[in-house]
Amino acid sequence: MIYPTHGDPWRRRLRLMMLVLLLALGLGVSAVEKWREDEVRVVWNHAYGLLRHYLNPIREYSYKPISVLFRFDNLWRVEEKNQQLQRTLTESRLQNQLLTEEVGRLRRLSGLGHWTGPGELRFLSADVIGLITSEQNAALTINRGRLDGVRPRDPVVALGGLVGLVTAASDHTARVQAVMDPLSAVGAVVRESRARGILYGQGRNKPLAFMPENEVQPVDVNAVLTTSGFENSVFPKGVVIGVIKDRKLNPYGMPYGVVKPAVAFESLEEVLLVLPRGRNGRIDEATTGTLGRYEIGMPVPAAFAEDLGASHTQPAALRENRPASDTALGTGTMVRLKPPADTATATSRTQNAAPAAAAPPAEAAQEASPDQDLEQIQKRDEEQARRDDETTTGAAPAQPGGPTDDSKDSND
Amino acid sequence: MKAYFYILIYLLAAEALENALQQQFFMLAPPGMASLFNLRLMALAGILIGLLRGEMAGMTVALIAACVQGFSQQQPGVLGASIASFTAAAFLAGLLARQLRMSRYPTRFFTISLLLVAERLIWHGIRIGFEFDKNVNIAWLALIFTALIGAGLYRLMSSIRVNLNVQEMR
Repeated sequence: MIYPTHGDPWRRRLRLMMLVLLLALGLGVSAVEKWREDEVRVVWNHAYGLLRHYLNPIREYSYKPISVLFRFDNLWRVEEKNQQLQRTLTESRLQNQLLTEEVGRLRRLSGLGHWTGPGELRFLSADVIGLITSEQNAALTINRGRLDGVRPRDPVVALGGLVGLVTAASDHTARVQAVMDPLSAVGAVVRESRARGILYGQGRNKPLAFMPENEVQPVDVNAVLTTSGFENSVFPKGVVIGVIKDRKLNPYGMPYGVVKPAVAFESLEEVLLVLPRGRNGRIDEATTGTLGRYEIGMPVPAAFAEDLGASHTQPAALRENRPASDTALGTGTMVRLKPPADTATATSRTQNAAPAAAAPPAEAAQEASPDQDLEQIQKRDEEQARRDDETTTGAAPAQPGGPTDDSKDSND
Repeated sequence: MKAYFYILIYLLAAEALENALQQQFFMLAPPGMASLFNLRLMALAGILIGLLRGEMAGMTVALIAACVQGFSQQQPGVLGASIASFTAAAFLAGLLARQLRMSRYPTRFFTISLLLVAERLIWHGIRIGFEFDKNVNIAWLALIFTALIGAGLYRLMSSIRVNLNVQEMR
């Protein structure tokens, strides 16, 4: 017994009785709680209603210091959430950037897909994987090579117009000499007046120089230059090269035009190679040098279309869900350069070209071409002679866009 | 008078902490540490007064604390178990106070821990006996934390302590 024996026994008994009574009370209350649950809930609610009247003010006061802790806790949670959101935002921005680039690339590729040409030609898209950046050169490297059917002297175009010429091809890559290269020379014609000339490159970040064949013919500012499309030309006919922005005299006193290129060489990412359809990677066939007789249609960025001043239509694929002012990616407007009636029917869309269906009219056009070419050359010579006469006698040159222009276009 | 004042303040603070603010502490607690705040401050009231003032005072305070606890919870099986467990723990506290000097903190801590464990066992025994619970679930970390608080409070409330053996000899 742990109780001291020297204490008051009645007090001990009283304490023990108290304990027994309280234990009995507790057990009794538990029994009532067990078997009279509903009544107990009612009684307990009444009792708590009385108790709550006194306890609630104390709870409210005691909650105030706790609320300070809650504020700190909230700040901590907000900070944690903020960091998490910042991480998510960074990831989202990165994804957004990647997706934006991919959308831009897809739009550019979509624009490239609107190049049209006869059934004998096919277009092969390529990515620009390198730029030669010296001042004396303007060249780029693309990710298509001999195994893709690429050969030296294959023409290269892009969304705005002519890019250049393949100068060397390995198995998987090819080097393209841009028209801005100082060694580049392209036969060009003024689209409106059909004045012929040579377009020389002057190096990167410098304008092209257009030397007219006829020295006395004035160089028209804002005239559009296209590839000449002569029979032995490397480049197909009708590809826009640039716009004459100024005219100057060279050190020998000969006039030349300062030409703004149609293609932004520095920001070029995707190009199209114009290849003969019959060639593939395994057949080593040199067919270039005769593409000048083909005319191909081309999409032009809307910003550059104003310089061209041509009638332009917008393809259905570009009209859908795309604002007309969306020219940042250069796929806004497609310009058709008034193709001749006979060859226009022979053109086919590159993206869904059906060679079997497109080939017969193209072949018919090609078969009929020798006789027509002779007549066309004669007509062109007559027109040229008449124009020269008008120029020397001081008469105003024929207005571009007039009825004679259409006939000239179709003849060329 | 001083004792009544201390008891009143303690009970009110313990009720607010245990019944009103405990849920808030659960929310503030780090993950896995919520049981730390499952304190037994109402049970500690009877134990502390039992240690300081003897069995009768301890059981009286324990009865009041049990009533506050039981009515605040408003669910069956709390009031009866609280009355029995709190008063039994307070009675045991009075008994131990006559045998131990409680002058050192570790002694107070271990004594209060023992009494809290006894209180919990009686509580769960009654609740299991009346089928309110099915098994014993003791938050040991919270019991230790409560004992640490109790050992400190004993020191703060020592001014109301009486020498139980001398009182018994009167």
